[in-house]
Amino acid sequence: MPKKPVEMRSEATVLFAGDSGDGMQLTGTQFTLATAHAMNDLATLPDFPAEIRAPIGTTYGVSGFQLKFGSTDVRTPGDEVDLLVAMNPAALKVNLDRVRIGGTILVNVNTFDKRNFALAHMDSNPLEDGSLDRFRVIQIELTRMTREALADTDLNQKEIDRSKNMFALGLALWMYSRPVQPAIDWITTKFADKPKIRDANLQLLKKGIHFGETTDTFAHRIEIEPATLKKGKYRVIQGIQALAMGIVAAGQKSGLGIFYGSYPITPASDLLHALSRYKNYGVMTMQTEDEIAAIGAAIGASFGGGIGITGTSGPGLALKSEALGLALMLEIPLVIVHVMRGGPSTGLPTKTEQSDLMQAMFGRNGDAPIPVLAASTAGDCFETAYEACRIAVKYMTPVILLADGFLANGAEPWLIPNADSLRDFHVEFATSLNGERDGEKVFLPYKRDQKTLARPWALPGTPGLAHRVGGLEKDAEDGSVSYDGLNHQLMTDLRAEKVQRVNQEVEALKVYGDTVGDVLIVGWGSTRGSIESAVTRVRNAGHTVGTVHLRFLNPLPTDLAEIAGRYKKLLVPELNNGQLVSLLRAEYLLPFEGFSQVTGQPFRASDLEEKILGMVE
Amino acid sequence: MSENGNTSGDSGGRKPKLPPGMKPTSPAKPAKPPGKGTRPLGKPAMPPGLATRPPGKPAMPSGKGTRPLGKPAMPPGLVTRPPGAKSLPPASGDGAPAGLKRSDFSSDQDVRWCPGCGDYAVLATTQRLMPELGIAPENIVFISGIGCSSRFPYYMNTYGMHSIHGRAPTIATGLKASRPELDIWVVTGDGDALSIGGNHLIHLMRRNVNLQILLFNNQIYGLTKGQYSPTSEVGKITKSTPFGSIDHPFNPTALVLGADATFVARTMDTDPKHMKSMFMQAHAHGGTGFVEIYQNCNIFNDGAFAAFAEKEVRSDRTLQLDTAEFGEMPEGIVMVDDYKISPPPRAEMKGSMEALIHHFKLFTEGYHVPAGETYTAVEAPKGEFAVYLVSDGTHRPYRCYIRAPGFVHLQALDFMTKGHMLADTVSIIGSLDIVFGEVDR
Ligand SMILES: Cc1ncc(C[n+]2csc(CCOP(=O)(O)OP(=O)(O)O)c2C)c(N)n1
Ligand code: SF4
Ligand SMILES: [Mg+2]
Repeated sequence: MPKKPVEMRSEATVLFAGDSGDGMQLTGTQFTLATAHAMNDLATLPDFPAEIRAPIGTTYGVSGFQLKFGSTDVRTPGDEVDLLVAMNPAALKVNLDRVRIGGTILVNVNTFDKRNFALAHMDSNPLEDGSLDRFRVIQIELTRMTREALADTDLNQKEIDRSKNMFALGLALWMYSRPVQPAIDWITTKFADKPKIRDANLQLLKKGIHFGETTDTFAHRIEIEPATLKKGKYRVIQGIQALAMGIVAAGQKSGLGIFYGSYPITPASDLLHALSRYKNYGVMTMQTEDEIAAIGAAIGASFGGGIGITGTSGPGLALKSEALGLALMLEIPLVIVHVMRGGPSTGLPTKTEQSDLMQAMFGRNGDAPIPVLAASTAGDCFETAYEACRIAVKYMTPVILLADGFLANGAEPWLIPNADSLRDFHVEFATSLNGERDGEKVFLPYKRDQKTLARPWALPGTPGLAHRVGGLEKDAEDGSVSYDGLNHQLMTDLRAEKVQRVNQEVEALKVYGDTVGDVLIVGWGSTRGSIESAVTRVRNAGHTVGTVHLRFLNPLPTDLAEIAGRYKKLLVPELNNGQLVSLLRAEYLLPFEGFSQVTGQPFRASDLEEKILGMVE
Repeated sequence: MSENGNTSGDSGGRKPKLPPGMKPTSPAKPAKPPGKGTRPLGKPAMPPGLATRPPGKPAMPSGKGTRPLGKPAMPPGLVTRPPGAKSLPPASGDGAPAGLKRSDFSSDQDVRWCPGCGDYAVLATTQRLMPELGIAPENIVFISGIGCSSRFPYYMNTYGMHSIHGRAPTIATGLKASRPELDIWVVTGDGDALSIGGNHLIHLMRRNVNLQILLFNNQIYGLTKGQYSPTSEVGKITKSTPFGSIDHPFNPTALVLGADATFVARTMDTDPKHMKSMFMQAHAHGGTGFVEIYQNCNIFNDGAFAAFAEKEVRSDRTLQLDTAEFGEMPEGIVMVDDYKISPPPRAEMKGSMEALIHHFKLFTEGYHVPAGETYTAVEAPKGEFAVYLVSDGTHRPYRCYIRAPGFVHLQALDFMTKGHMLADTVSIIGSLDIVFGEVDR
């Protein structure tokens, strides 16, 4: 049989959607893996419901996995979908507005019946009522074909129906000329001890490919050339994995033990899962009774000479605030990885948002400044986690690292860094007396390093340096309890100044786009891809705009004001109701304009593009 | 003591030394931030000591970057953890430096509890105990929460942390997990451990972390000046309960036993000898050693335990339950091996006809009671409950009489109902609070 002709494209966006039980996350992950093997750049957006298995067929049970890939730089999971695979009417209903006009919709027509329309609250059959006229609709009898293909096996009906996503995966791989071997390898290892399931899955995967090749529905297949990425060894990485690896790298490079205490919460739980696998890299993890215990245990570990780390999301940070204040007062290293989600309260646990910035900055009693860092891409999570640990130790301070649900779950190709390229992580513990009182040599636990203002780190077990720390205000040198007013003023100033001195570690901001022009966009966190894509588009339209992306939210960069001075207008897009923009206005007294979105989804580059165009015209 | 503390001895206008780059500030005229409002628009005020750096050039800490890469310098005696090792660096020498005295364990801080407070006795006992444990002071850590009692670590010349209210067990757990060689003591109060930190306390017991926890129970919130606590009795009149508390108190030992504690002891501030022995045994225990200390707060709850803790009455009113006094329990199954009274084991019946007959006789007939009579009484809710039994030597009683106190009370019904309506009978019986199960035999 002659192979079908191939159409070349530079990029594509695919969205798999179905019931929570349809295996869409898995299908998406396998498609991503194949795409990485095809050497395309990519970005993903898994989007799943808060319920584990919401009632079948309902709109709130729809789980989706979106992926954009291309032969050029891919910065976002895509604004508009070229191919939507909808396993049932609810999945179609929920995701239809994401599909590009003229895009392709592939539906499992066997699920398009009265019952499923009722469950999805649809009045009529969208395949017949003309509502899909502007799209190319491909109807496939996925359930029937799956059942027929596996009729001869002795799998039961449920097991058979559950494997239909493999058919869909095979077909999608064929449509975009993706390599099949990675999926075959995965199925073979995953079901190694369940040969019947393994064979059924492999059979269906191949059936999907053959179907694409033979059916008349597809006149051609699409191919996307490999991207020209910098040479080196790549892997696909999710933000959460990169966070875990950054932490492990910090432990290895510093020679310190890592202690991670956490209480399960979406989406931070995956960090606990990831780190608990690194036991043989000196990582100790503990699932505690609550968030307070998690940070408490991390403080204990830091007091003992390890890097105490705790991770949480949403309301978890609120519970940790009191202990955070203690760590600040003790001046010991501690890293809080906060994976933001929709709030307030329980909010939108599985959706992304950047609305905990103010809480990270100020959410403690007293004047309690803490360095705050934010990661901007899945790969950047590695470096930011490493930096957070390094700064925590070097400056003897708790550090908050902000990530979010989109960063944590999203994936991208990542150039695996060389261990030697990581910044120096040198640790020195106090071993000797450092002061004098009444002619006698003594240990002064709060006598600071002149450059970093860090106090010495004397570990229990060190002879002669026994000392007491605590949450009461400390004397500026000997660390004993002090209620003295002037001393408190000094200590408050010192704690603030110490955070400012972290600026010694901060590299100069890099402008993406025009370094002088009409609009400067200031971003932070996971919005980087959307912002830079939008900036590229606006520049292509002939305007001069640039963007800087902040990793450090506290201390704020010293060079931002100078950069901002080179533009006519300043824009701060964020996935909250305007938090960084308030901080920037207060700090720099410049007319930063906010652009806010809190829909639980990342920015679409096109929305930002529209906003920026509105400012330049 | 008050929560915001007594004025410290070190107060007064002493000016602390400033690191370079920091201008001294005074409350009257703070030097930082220098007139935020007046700074030229767009230029952030640099923190003093930080040179403004030209855009594009990161200010790198001078010198720091050039240091050769290497492992952190460890304190003497600490071993660098090889990559992949499980725990953090172990502490130095496990042996005890000989010749340590009590005074070696008291810090240079003035003790600031109210004169007469029971906490003093606990501190003294602990300091006296320490040299006997044979552990170097640097390997001992005291971790406390918040409360009068939680000031404890400041007075011990060991490593210590005065943390936040109720959370000491969490910090101690993290420390112990990463530095198992350290000897850790948690100091807490009844409010600290049982109220705000109740959850952590039970989970500490569940995990059985190898450390000691000393719960100072004074049945009051001392530091916040006298509110009722989770161990205060019902009806307790305090500042926050002027009409008497309506909450039922916890029994700390029952609580931790419920959480599967593996070592539970109770002692009191008035008996240092016993206290020391309890601390010692808690320390020797290979899991969480829990010791509740009845501690007198002579300011807000004076005499809470006087009824049995005072010297004059102590020997009459306290009973020390100590495994040592019971002697060692023999190992194995405890059951009388007289087959005329208790059945033989199943296994034996399979092989021995004798055993089978014993079993059969015992379960068809019962055992034979020696001839004689007995009257045995116990205390029941309504009075004396007693059984009078006469045996003629067979397996059935010759005579049996049961004295049920409820029955005696029930006889009053006849008098009490006279002149009332029939429908009132139920209420009248109710007023007698009869236990019918006991009457009806
Ligand atoms: C989060 C928090 N809430 C409240 C307080 C105020 N507070 C300090 S000590 C205390 C109670 C102490 O009682 P207890 O633990 O019995 O210790 P005692 O003073 O009796 O030794 C309270 C409520 C606090 N320090 N922190
Ligand atoms: S417990 Fe009572 S007596 Fe003791 S220091 Fe506190 S307030 Fe004073
Ligand atoms: Mg108390």
